[in-house]
Amino acid sequence: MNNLLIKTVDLSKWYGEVIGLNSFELEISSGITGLIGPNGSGKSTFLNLAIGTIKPKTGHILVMNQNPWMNPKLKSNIGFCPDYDNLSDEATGREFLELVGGLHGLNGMRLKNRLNEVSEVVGMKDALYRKIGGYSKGMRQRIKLAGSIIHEPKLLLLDEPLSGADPQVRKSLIEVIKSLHNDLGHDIVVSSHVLYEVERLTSKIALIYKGRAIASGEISEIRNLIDEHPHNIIIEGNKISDLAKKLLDMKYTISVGYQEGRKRIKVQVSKPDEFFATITDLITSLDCEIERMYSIDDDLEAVFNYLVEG
Amino acid sequence: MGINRIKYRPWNGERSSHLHRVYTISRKIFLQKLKSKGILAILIIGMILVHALPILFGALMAHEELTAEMMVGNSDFMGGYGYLKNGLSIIFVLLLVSVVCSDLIAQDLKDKSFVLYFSRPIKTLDYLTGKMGGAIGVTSILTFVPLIVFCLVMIGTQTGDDYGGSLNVLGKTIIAGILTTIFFVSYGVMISSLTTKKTYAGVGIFMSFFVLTIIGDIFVNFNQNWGLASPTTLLFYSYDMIYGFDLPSDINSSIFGVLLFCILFLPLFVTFVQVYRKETGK
Repeated sequence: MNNLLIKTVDLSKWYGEVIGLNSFELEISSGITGLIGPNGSGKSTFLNLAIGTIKPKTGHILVMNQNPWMNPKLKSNIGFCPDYDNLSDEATGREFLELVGGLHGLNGMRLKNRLNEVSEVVGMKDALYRKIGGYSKGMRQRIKLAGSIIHEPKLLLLDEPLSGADPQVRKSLIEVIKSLHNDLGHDIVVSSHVLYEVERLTSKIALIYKGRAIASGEISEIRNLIDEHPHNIIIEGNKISDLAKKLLDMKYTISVGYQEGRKRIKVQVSKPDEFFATITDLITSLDCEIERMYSIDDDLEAVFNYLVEG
Repeated sequence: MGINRIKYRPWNGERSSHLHRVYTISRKIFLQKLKSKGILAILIIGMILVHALPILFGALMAHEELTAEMMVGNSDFMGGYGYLKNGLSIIFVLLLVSVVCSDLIAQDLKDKSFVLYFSRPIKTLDYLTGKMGGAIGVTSILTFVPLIVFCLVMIGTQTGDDYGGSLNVLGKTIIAGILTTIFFVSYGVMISSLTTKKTYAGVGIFMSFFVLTIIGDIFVNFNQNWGLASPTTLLFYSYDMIYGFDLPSDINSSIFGVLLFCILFLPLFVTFVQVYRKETGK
């Protein structure tokens, strides 16, 4: 049974006339949870409310059954990795970790040992004595991650930890984050606006848009929502005009439209299973030359678009 | 990439070491500032020009004991100026505070470093105490340490036997040194909390002192109390009070008290409010 880590009830936060969160309702349990939403959707506001650096205007948020606002003891149980880079270029990685550890009351041998442990976890042991100014983007993210776990928090809040990193670095950071949960036991909330990245981290997601939580749960549960919406398939190739005409006669077809000339069509269907069951025979019977066929609904981006537009 | 397995050990509530957190911030500021070549230059030049020669001459000049007059200049000792009421010293301290305090809060406001502190178990007061502690540590190298050295040298070379009287002056000098340090640092930190640009903060600290001094100098012709608008004058009268001398008869002691209280504590209050507002996302 998963433990409830974060619960919000009618949570709202606004900055002047700008709304950060609006009647936000969400429950997050243990494990890795992905917060997905476009830039400005309210992900960072939610994480800042969870760590208690800002105060809700209305409603309330409970983190591990406690109100995070003005609650230093709770902060000892949370590790926060902000989306922006506030590292001092002049400091070394070790100095940064010493500062962060000290802010959590760690000192002496305990701090030294912990420093060695976390630098190994994030793969930064060899670069600890170098100035942060000379770090690559990936190294800066790693040292920030190390700073967020140095005090052994139960819950980790990672705000866009993969942003700005190149694909290789993203891959390794994803491995590190997964290990933080699988091997070290941290519960993690990770935000991102790139859906496929979160999909590689976890199957448990929450979708945020314009300050509201529009859906949450397992990816499979959310995928079921696709069935309530038309499915879009792109077909590219030669001699596909006849195929387009034939598809219009099928019961499951809602619409067929040409894109980029007559070598590409977009088919909108109500029953994708029936479509995929019959399309091979149709292509064979019409002697079409199909170069490529793919569904534009196959990733989380589509789910997100459905929910937002719905 | 590989990962080394470490058993998760949840926090058990023992790390409540409050003072250590404050010390961590102070230490970081102190060491960071002492790495600055500009600050080191001000400290070295200030030490040589302002303190080294008076300490040397003071030791060489015949004296029976360390007296309050030597410190605040109500005697013929050292040309009648006294060790503390040295205009050049004020300029160097002001320069130092401008550089030390300029980015103290302003930089955090600019690059959102607040989150680095306030996402940890740190309160506004801890943050400010830590920041000011570091700045006080650096500033006191020029505002506190030389005063103590001067007193100890004078006591060490005195010809008389009244060491009790000398130690009494040493005690008052410690108070004067602490007052000078807090006087400048609290003002500098306040200016730094009012802007996100450290250049504005640095220039603001330096220039606002001169503007207040000019205002005081202009209006003092109408009323002597206007002289208290000058922070330097206010500080020098404070020294007189510490060493047991009276204020000039044409200075209103109530106005002096209120202004001294304001310049010591109002900046701290303003800074606290500024940081608290930022911390709470306003």
